[in-house]
Amino acid sequence: MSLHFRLGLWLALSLLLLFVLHGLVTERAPRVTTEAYITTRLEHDAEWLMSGLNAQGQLTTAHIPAIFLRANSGHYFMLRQGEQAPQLSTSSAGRTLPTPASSGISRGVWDDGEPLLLLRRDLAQGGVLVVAESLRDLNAHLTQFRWRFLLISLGLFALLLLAQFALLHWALRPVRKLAHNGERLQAGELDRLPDPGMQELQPLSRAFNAVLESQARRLARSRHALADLAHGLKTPLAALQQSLHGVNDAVVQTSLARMEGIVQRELRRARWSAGVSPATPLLDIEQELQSLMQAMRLIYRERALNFVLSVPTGAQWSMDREDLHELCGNLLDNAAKWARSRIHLQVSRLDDDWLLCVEDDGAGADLATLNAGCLRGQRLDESQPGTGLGLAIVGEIVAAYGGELTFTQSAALGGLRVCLRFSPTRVAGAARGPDTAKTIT
Amino acid sequence: MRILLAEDDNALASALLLNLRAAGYVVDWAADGEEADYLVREDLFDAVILDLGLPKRAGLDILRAWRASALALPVLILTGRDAWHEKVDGFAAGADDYLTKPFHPEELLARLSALLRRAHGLAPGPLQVGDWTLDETRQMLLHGDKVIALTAMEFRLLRLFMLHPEQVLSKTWLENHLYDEGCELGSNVLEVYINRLRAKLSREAIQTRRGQGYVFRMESLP
Repeated sequence: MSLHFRLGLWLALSLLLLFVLHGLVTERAPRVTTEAYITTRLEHDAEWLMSGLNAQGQLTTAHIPAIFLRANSGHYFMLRQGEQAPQLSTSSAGRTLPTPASSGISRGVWDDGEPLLLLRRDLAQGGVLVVAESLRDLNAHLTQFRWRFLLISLGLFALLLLAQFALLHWALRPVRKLAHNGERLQAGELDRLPDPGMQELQPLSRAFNAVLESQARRLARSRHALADLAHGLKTPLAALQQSLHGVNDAVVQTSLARMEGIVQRELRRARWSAGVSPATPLLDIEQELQSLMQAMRLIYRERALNFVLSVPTGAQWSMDREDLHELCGNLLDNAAKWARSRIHLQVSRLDDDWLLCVEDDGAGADLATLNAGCLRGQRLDESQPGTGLGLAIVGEIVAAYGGELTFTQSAALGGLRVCLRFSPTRVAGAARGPDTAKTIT
Repeated sequence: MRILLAEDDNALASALLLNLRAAGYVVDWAADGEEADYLVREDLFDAVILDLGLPKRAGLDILRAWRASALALPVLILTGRDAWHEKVDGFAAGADDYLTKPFHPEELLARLSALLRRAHGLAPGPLQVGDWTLDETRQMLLHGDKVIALTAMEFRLLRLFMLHPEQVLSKTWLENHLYDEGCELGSNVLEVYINRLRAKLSREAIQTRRGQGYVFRMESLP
């Protein structure tokens, strides 16, 4: 559930609650006020009428206010004494008002459904005075008011919801930007998170950048240390080999060869365990591969091999430069060992993925064995020194970048065709270490 | 053939010096980058074996500087750095070949020989001029079915001639490419060796150009 949605939901719910409560109070207020006012008026009327009773307990017409005389005025009274027929206001048009059970204010309904507010007074000399006022007009007004109030409230509610959405969208922009920058960082477009411009997020991006930097430093340090170690170990080994030149002792020579193999293998493995930095910059593939091809041509100059490179202009993806050279260098070197005269390196796009293929015109290889197990799950430490080390390294790199390696027969050249397919997005996600191995048959 | 070995490791350098000299090369040794740079700019060498991790000036730096000042002599990088990106950087800096330590002595000699051959515009394979073939591993001269033994100095001198057939080679140039710095020699020594070679090949094989030097003729007479 997104932060935006959650915040929006709770804000909308609280807004709704506020509106409902407010509506309930506001809807009741006019009725309560008006009825209180009517009650006061009814009391005044009752007082007035009672003050006008003559000795026989009858109301003289002169004393009756005009409003009770007009037909259907909405103001009525009824005076009932003993068993006589009750005295009714002219406005009642002969209809008898319902008599409330007890004195005081109460509601009632006339026979034709007209709602009434009734006030009953018990007279001191015996008898009952009921004064009433019709609520028909009031109810009509209140209903109209209620509708209008509801419509205005709904409109306001919708307006506030919109405003709230916009506000949330605006307020969460730095968070979205941070997330976006995180993705760009993974894709290698950025090398560090920029300032999010929001106080609450700054410690996060600062901490993140610090981790990135320390990791890059550690990686550089371990790589440098290993390069130094390589140099330090190899030179004395080379010296040993030179001084033993001409010594035809099989034990000495095999031991030397084994030492050489072990040093090479362990150094490569140590270089690999340094891992891949998550924030790898975008690499200009065309330029890098061109210099690699040039180096290849020089290395195999004696055999006059024809190295052909085909790469789309401007091709770039997120990969460590050293890894790219190690990967392609080993593939090309392997191809060159078997090729008769031609080696092709082709880079192309396949949907959103990149496809990197190396093919040669050599005798080919046992595809079944290669596809079945040569690279799948095989670690450097399982490979024999000197044999297949190059391909094992390729396997490690491919696994670290979450790629897929396939071996087929080259249709164009007839030899072996090794294809590496990987997606730039998965590269960023998988480039955490060699454990995320993924190969297909 | 005069080679500069730029290598800071004493043990490796002395072993290499022995092997290279045994293979008939004249070798000078520079133990740091500055010395190597200075010696190469003397323009005495036919090739350089260059270590990358040199003190004072890094191998790649001086190599780039040489190429920038149009010094075209063949350079073989000899290093422990075996990653592909390092090889690519080495070639991009202007190296002609790249060999990683540890290595077999034969491999270095074969590559060095190929490098020199290429630098003189000759095809790879055995060194062959006219009917003469020089077997560099056994240091012998082949002519038809005949196998002619050569002394170390005769071999060095003949290889120089065969790498530059039909070219006038001055006495000073020949001396510079036959002896290293520490070697003092008498004025007639070169003449003596050339006469020995003439005796083994034929009088016409090496001609004397007065005041200029010597020429190795491709067309040899029976």
